[in-house]
Amino acid sequence: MSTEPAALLADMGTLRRRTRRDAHGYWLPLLLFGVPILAAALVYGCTVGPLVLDTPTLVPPALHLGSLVVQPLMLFSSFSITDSPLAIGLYWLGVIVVGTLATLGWYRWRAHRIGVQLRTGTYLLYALGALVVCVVLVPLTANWTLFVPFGGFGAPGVWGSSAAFLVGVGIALLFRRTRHVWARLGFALGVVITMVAFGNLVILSSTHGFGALLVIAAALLGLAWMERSPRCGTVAVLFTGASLLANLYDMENLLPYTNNLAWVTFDNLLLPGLVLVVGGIVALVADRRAASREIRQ
Amino acid sequence: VSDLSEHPTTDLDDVVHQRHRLGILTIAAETKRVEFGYLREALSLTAGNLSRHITVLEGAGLVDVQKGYDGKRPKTWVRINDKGRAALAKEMAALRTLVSRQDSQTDPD
Repeated sequence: MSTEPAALLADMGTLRRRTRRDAHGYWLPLLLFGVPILAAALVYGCTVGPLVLDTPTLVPPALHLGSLVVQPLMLFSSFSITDSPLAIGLYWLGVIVVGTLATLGWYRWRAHRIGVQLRTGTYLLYALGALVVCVVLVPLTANWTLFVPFGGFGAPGVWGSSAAFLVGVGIALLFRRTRHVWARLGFALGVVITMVAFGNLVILSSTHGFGALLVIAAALLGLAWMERSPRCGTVAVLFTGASLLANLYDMENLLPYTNNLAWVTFDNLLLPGLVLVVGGIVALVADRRAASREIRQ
Repeated sequence: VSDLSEHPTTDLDDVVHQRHRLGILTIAAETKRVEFGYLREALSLTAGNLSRHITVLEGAGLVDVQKGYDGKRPKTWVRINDKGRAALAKEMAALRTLVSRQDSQTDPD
């Protein structure tokens, strides 16, 4: 290493890149989430009942808190035609919790093996934050979503909720530092409008009941940020797009389709699952190649 | 005659500017904490030399050192703190200013 400014800066850049490369371990989390997404069709296949819509069995379990009805797993199963929304909901919850914990364990193990420990708190924050939004916030705000003017499905719901979200944020920002009692009420109103509008946008984004994919997408975006990895970020963005597609578009229109709902589920989950599995395998191969290149040098 | 107090070299910190110590801070800034063995290998330093550099940085309050065990093997972890991050950012900014000044002086236009 040189002490000339330009050479010193170049050396530090090399060290920074090498440290980031050595710390990269995102291939395993991608596979940890990708494989259960592809395998989910098997679980749906095991729980599929007769094709009867609008029966009480389609409603996921609910908690009754006074006048409020809260369905914690509503985004993970509510729109799936299945005999057991609870089993489906618990499957997705398990994928998220086990995947997140296994990822944390993986980075802890790598830190002791390689000697570089990353700030996994960022990843945990994204994963837990998204999970709390989907399992607590949205099921709670769903009590009001259908009764507000911007609720409902389709384009009016999307545009109305987006506009209400911006209005709510604006009101909350406007009154956030004023101590007058009316200003505090204004701030609270802004926060409530923001939360209900955001809740409705999340409901609209998980129309097919694959809300778990959105939680995983948020976790992977946090992972990419933690790793400072553009490649992981690219996979996370592609997965986010694929997850929205799986939730909003009937992929069986494009892929082989039968009346078997497990097959329909597989059609819808194929793209997001493949993005993660292929991304994970490519990252693993690149990781191994880089390691063998280093040994040769 | 330019004012020497405004020259970018006045922003260089002797503790941080030393190339190996700058390397330690650069690597540590990319991580939550980094192990002694990794630093030694990445910077091609002997254990004694690395230990001395880490002691200097710890003495200046730029890094925190944690000693522990991984099974029966002793491990030393180095963690950059807020003061260290600020010192690293200032040093890198000073180096970039020096490079751009050199570039502008050698530019024939």
